[in-house]
Amino acid sequence: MLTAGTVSLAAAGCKGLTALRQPPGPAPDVTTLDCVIAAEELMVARYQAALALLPSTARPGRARPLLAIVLADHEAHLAQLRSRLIVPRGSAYRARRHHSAAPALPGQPREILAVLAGAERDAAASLLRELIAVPASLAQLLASIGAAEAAHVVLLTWPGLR
Amino acid sequence: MSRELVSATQGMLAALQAALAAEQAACYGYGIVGAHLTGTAFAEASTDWIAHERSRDALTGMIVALGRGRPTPAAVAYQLPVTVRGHAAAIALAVLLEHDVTAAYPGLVALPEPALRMFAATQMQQAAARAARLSGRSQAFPGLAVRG
Repeated sequence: MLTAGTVSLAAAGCKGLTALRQPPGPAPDVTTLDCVIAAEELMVARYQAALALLPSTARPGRARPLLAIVLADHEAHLAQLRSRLIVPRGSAYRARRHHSAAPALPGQPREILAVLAGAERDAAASLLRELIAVPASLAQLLASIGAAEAAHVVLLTWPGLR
Repeated sequence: MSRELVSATQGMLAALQAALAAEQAACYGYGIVGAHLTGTAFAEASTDWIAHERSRDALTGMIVALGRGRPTPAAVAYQLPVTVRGHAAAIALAVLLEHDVTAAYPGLVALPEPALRMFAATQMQQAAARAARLSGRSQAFPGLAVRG
């Protein structure tokens, strides 16, 4: 039956079952989502490294609690983004190799905050570009995450924090 | 005009009108906010007020340019979500206004037009940043009802 079926497909101008062996590549928005996830993972790693580096004596009532709150925001972003990335079993698609090493940060608390603020600013700007060509619901999520990052910039550059 | 195109245009008009309504309410609300502030806080609120007026005017222009309806006029007055009798309540009102404005733009972000998406997402970032400056806090998902 299988042979007959294949012959019939060939006669009809079809490629037959071999065409099923190579599934289509990922859609562009899947690649975009994967890149955004990688960037969010790096952001989480930055805050984890910053919290480990930041001396507990450096304005203990301000910087450390803020970084912990912002880290929680980013962890929530990451969870939402990961929930949107569904890779079918057997798919040839392989997720981007994500960051494993902790990012390097400067030693001084003021410099650490400046680096984090710069990273947030860059991420917010990047999301404005990324959301243009993705489906509507993902665009809304990226817009909201970008808005959170713009808010983080304000909090990290708060004059009283330094 | 095809039925699909009419539907898409109506969706765009509705999203623009919703954002416009939020900006109009913010313009009204900042008038109350500013009346209870002085010094730097007043100056910052004035700048924020102007930002909302500009966004309101931009949205009005977009609706007119769409050519499918007129911008809905602002209400004469709005019921405020909080009673404002001093500095702290004025700041609290401003934060609520910014949150409302942020939540009014995801409908525009959902539209496929790149320029509208960029405009709306930029407005969300600016409103969230103003709310953070006013409140000293951030939200994980500004404008969206997402459980973080």
